[in-house]
Order: sequence, then structure tokens, then C-alpha cells
Amino acid sequence: MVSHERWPAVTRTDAFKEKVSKAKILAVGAGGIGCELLKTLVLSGFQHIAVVDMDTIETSNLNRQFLFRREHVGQSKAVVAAEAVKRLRPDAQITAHQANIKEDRFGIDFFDGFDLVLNGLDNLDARRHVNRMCHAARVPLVESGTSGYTGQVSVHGQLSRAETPSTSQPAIEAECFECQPKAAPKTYPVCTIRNTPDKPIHCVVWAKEMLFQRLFGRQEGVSDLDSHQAAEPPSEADKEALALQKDDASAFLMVPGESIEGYSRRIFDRLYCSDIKRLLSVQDLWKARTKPKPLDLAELVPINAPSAGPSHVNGHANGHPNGTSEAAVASASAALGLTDDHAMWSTADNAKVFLKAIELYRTVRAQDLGAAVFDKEDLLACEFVTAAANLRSIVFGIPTQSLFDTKGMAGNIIHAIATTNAIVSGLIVGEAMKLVANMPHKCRVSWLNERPNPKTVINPVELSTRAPDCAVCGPALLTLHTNTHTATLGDLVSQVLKGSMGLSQPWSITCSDFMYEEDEDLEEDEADTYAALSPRPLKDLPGGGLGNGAVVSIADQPLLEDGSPARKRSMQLIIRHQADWDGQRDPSQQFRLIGSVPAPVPPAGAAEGQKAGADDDEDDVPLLMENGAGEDEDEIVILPAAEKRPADAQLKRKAEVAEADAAENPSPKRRRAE
Amino acid sequence: MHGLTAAQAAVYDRQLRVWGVDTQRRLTAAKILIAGLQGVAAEVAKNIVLAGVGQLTLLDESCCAQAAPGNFLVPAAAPRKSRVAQQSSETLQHMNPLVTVSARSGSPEAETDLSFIKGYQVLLLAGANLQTMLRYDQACTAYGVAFYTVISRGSNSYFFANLHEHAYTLTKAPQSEGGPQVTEAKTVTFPSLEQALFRSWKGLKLRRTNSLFFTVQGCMLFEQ
Repeated sequence: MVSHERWPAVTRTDAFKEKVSKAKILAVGAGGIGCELLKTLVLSGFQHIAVVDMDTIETSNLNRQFLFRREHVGQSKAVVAAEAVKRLRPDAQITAHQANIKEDRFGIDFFDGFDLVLNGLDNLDARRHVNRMCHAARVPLVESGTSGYTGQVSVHGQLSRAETPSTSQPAIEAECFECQPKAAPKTYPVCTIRNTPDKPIHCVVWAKEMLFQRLFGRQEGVSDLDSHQAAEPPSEADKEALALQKDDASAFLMVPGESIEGYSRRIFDRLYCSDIKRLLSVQDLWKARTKPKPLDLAELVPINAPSAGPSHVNGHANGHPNGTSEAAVASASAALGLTDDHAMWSTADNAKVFLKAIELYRTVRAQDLGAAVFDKEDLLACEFVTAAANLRSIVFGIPTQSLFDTKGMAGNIIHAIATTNAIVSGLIVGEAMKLVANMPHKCRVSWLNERPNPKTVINPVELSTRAPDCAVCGPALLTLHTNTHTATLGDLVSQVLKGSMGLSQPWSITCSDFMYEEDEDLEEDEADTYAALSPRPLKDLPGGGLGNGAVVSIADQPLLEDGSPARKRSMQLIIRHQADWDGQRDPSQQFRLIGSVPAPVPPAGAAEGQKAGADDDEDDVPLLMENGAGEDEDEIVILPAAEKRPADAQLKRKAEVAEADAAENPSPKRRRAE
Repeated sequence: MHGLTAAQAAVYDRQLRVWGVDTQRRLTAAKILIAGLQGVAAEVAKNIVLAGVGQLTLLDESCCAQAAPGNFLVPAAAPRKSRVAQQSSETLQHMNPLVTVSARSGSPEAETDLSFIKGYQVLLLAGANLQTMLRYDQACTAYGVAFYTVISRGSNSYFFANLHEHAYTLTKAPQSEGGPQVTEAKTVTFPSLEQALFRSWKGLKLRRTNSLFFTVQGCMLFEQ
């Protein structure tokens, strides 16, 4: 039942405080938002919290992840955060999991054990995963993100439970996290990167994705970037220029007998002189652009110049701290005395760092050669990319960047401060409390702006309804209770799929690697394979079996009343294992199906009026109606910015924030560890 | 050199990317006083210590047994008779060893001679009564200290700022993408707390004025 008490007056009642103290909360992420969130949750009276985070603490976290101390660097974020919060409120029960939330053990059953899921994640992939788990387990999700001074909090999924069919109250559902498309990571046309860069980022991408990989990384890993997503097809001139650069991978290998200095100088000459001259020969490219100017290395760094510095391995006294390690790190800029990572290097400095970095990779870092992966925490890698990108910028007349700024661009570093995370966490707990109070109609999506927009910094907006064609929450969700040890695939097909669900051919069910289908056009051997699986119990089917918590995707082709084909239908079926059910004794009691199969819908392109009529029943019910409660003052929410803002502008902003967050992907090192 | 130590550059990396080295240097030079450590003041203290101010002094003589429930800087295991300011300053000092955090004995209300606020750039007075708020506001004006005061009760709260004659630079979003940023030097003159609280209703745009203003004014008059 949805409560119609007054918000926020209800928060002062004992009944509410009791609900808060009993609510089971899953906090995903113990980073910037996570630390603030855990603190605010226990201060607000929440006592049952599980926290999941796979990461370990780094020095650059300490400016905002205030539950961590210098001596915790290298330890588990989830474990240290849970201990710190327990010191604040010893009676709170905090369970820490140092793990990836995508692991199998955090299945539907795990999510089903919580009343609320609160996300403080740093990547889109994990966000999508949690969204799907929340949808399958029908647990409400509060999603959040921050970047610099800006942030957002949104509420998704089934916000109130309509647990028994006898309750007249329908389940209240908001859009899921994936109802609105998320911005894809930014890509650049390959022609711009290779032939005609005009922004610093173009040179950084070139240095990091193409050059770094080619010189130090795996050869097969060299990125071709994404030429498919280019807004315009390559011009003839671009194609000509690209053709000139084909088949040149071998030119980046060291020739037998070549000295390291000779090699690095040859690479420099090729990249910043001969390749540029070749580009200049494609005259069509430069009709409307400034021509690049090749660099003369002999002029910048004379061949017989004394080698810079006595040592190429310097412990950093100043400038480039390596964070966790006090040990000496290979650094080209330190060897050259360039200790200010905010300073702009001269052209000659860039050339020297370029040469020195190659030398260091060939000597002290030789073990990485052929397998190096760019990592923003790797000082030498950042130095090389900075120098290489700056030299290219100089050639093309683009402003150069400091080591600090290049590191941020190449590493997709998210700008972050404690205050923003604290505000966003406060907003998350506010939404959590509305959900605990069972007042989902009070829930809001909140935007935290850098500047007042137009008068307020925080803009709350009403939740959106589900997108009917959402691939995640669009398909109908059904639950099937059965004893997966005794019920067979044959029983499932005859009693449930063709029986109570009434699927029409062709139809198929899939669950990870397992698939079963029925279609008149099946090959004979396929039909035989399927027939052989029929007597097997559900849990013993291939691909891990249809055990407890398995999510089965179902697709079929229903017919309309007039016999014409309807729109293809997709559903999701969640299997719940009931060990004490004995189907042998009473086969009719073997399955219990909860949920209903959606009615056939005319195909897209059929009469519009018909379509709208069909959709009305399910999807156009106003989401957060007051349902007859007295109109109280609280109900009038002042939304100066949001109400006037067109929907697509909001969508764009959402996409922007999502993109910013998604950018802080795990570092390559971590990704490998996953 | 950019004027930050290696340790500062390592810890502050992510925020340097938000507000830049110049702002960080100015923060590192700042001296701030917080008087009264309710939950909201603890939150402020945490955020400015993480941001890396130079020095922070705390003033709150109440004993930990009576610590505000929202002050998460006082651990549950703190001795009941120890002082809130002392316990909070220890937590904050561990949170960021690059900041100098100290506790000053005395309670905000009991201080009669406010000359000790001289030398601070910013003072936050939290959860005090009206007389104390007015006194600190006047003293801050006299000593040129930026003054903030905050009250937070249940789900309502308000804060007041008196930055005296405040000069700042307004940065406007560039006209076109990649275009030059437009900056404009501005000054604003803040009213005193007394002027702000006891202003007449004449000229107030009632529909634009938060009803909390009238509530606060009523409470203040009653308290007086």
C-alpha cells in the first residue's frame, strides 16, 4: 500500500523510524559517493547495509573518500569503509564484500534480499548490470553520479510492491536506468586523428591509441579507432593520405644493430618530419586548412648533445609523486629536470622527453615492451603521451598541454570533490527515505548544477514513466515456482510454455548458453536434439541449467484475433526453486506461474489509433498519481527550471552526466584483474 | 614550481582538475574558524579539511556525551567527558594530515572578547542563539572576517553569509564552443545579519520569499 501521510512530517513518526531501522539496503560502490552515502545512511538511522566494491584505496581517493586514511592505501574500499562506519554507529550491521557486483553469487536471490539498492558506481557497464538485477528482483534502484560541481540522482524500477493479486493498488513503476539511451563513449573520425587534427584531444588520442600501442604495446592491439562512426565518409584526399600510411608497422620496429638513440631519432624523424611531408603532398587536404610544419630534430636536439642527466631513474623529490610507492620510478621528465607537471614544455623539451621516454622503455622498462598498456597511473606512459601529443600539436599549430592536463585527458580522469558527493549522497538518502515510507509519488529525479539554473542549484523533476519499447524493462516479467530437481523440460514445455502461457510458433526460450525452440521449419537433427533434452530435469539442462534465480528469455510470434501475425513478443521468466514441491504426486501442482502474458499487439505500422489504444492499458497510466489523497501544500513543488525545460534538453543533460561517469572506467590494470 | 608539495599534488589531484592550482594555493593559505559543531558544521568541517585549507580551528566545549547526533566526527567510543572540539579535531587531523587542525577551549556563547577571531579569513558559527549570532556578525565586520552562520533543525535549515564588500570574477560560458571565456569583475555589498533579519516587509516580493524567512524573523523577535 502506498502511504498518503505528509512528507516530510512522516519522518518524525516512530513508525517511520522503525521502518528505517529495519530496511535492508544494498550500497553498490564504496568510493566517492559510497563513503558519503554510508555515513549519511547510518546517521539517518539505517542499520542493515551491505556494501559491495571490488576496488582498493588509492592516494588520489583521499581528497574525498573521507572514511579512508593514508595508511589504508592498497586495502579494500568496502572493508575499510564498513569498519569506519561501524565506529560511528556500532549497532549498525554493515556487511562488506570486496567483489565485483557482476559475480554470480550476487544473483537475483541476493538482490531480492534487499528493500532498496543504492548505486554509487563509476562505470556504465556495472550500472546496467545492477539495473537489470533490480528489475528482475523487483527492487527499487536509486542511481547517482557526480562530475566536478555537477551531479544527479534518479529513482528507477518498481517503487512499490503489489504483492498479492487481491491488492487493488497497481505496482508503481518508474522508468528503468536503461529506458533512455545513454551516450556512447566519444569517438573521433580516423581521418581527423591521422591526417588533420585540430584540437589537443586529437593529438592525445593519436599518441595514446596509435603511437603508444605501436611502439610499446601488442602489435595486434593497435587501434584503428572507430572509422565507422565518423559523421562524414572519408574524402578522396583523406583516403589518399591514409593509403600513404598503410603497411608501415614494420617501420616502428628496431633494426638489428641499431642503437637506442638511432632508433628513437629515426622514429621521431618519421613521425614529425617524413610522415608530415607525405601528408603535405596530398594537396587537397590543405586547401582550407593551415599546413602542418615538419620538425627538424637535428635543430631541436643536436645529435652530439651530452646525454641529459646522470641517471634516468629518479626518485621524485618534487613534481610527480607516484602515489602509493615511495620507490624510484622511471621518469623522463625528472631525468631532464622538468619537475613541474603543470608547466608547458618547450618544443625542444618535448623532443627530449620523447627521446628519453623511448630510451627508458628500451632499458629499465624493457620487460614491458610488446605488452605495455596505457595506464594513467604510469608516469612514464603519461610522459611519453604528453611529449608525443605536444610535438604533433606543434606540427599542426594546435596549443600544447601540460603533463597534468594530458594525464587527465588520456586517462579520462573524472574531476571530483567531496562537497558534490556529500550533496548527492544526501539526495540519495532523501529518496531512499521516501521509498521506505512507501511514498513513491514524492520521489524526484534531482539535478545538481554548477550554476543556478535559473535560480536554484538543485532542480528536482518528476519521475518519467517506462519506455514501452525498453529492451530491459519492456518485456513482461513472470515468475515460475517449481522444483527444478524433479520438473523436466518436457513438463515445462507442455504445462507452462504451451499450456498456461499459450505460446504460438515459432517460439524460443534462451538462458545463457541454453536454447530450446519450436518451429515447423526446424531441421530434423535439431528437433532430435531438443527431443533428447525433454526428459531432463530443469537444473540439469546444458549451460548451467535452469536453477533457482535463472532468467529465461522467451520470444514468440502470436497471432491476432483475425489470424494475422501480431508483433513479436518477448518476456522474461524467472525460475524459483521450491525444494519441497513434489510434482510426482500431483503433476497439476508442479508449477505455479505468477504474472501474465501480454496480449498480442498489432505490428508496427498498423493504424496508429489502434496501437495507442492497445498501449493505453499498460503503459500510459500516469505514473505517480496521488490516487485521491487530499491535496496538501507539500504537493506543489516549485520546479522553475525543470518544468520549462524541454524534455530533450533533459535527456541530453542526462546523457552528458552519464557519459562523464562512464568515462572513469577501471584502469586497464584493474580491467585485466576482473 | 606550481607551489604545491608532492604530497599535496598526489592527494589533491582530482580536485586540482576542478578548481586549478591557483585556487588550491589560496585554499592552502586559508585560516578558518568553526564555532559550534552540530551535524551541519561537522559536514562543513569535513569538506573544507578534505579540500585542503591551511588551518582549521574548532570551538565547542560541550562534552562528547552531549555531542549532536549528526556530528560524525565524534566516534561512538570517545570518552563521554572529552570535549567535542578536541575529539572532532583529532578525527579531522587524521582525515587530512596536510591541514593543521586544532581545538580552542571555550564555548562560542561564553566568549566575551571576540578579538581572537582576528587573523581568520572565514568564520562559521553554527547552532547559536540570536544574540551570539549578532555579536559574531558585528565582530566579523570589525575584523574583516567573512561570516557564515547556519541553523539546521529537522528537515528545515537556513544559512546566512556576510562577506562584507566582496569582489569576485564572474566567468560566463563561452559564446561558442571553444570560444574565449568572458570574465567580468564584480563587487557585491552584503547586509549585516541585523539588517537582513529585521528588515521591514516593505518591498519584499512575497511570492518569491521563502516562508521560512518570516518564521525565522518571528522566532528571532520572540527570542529578543
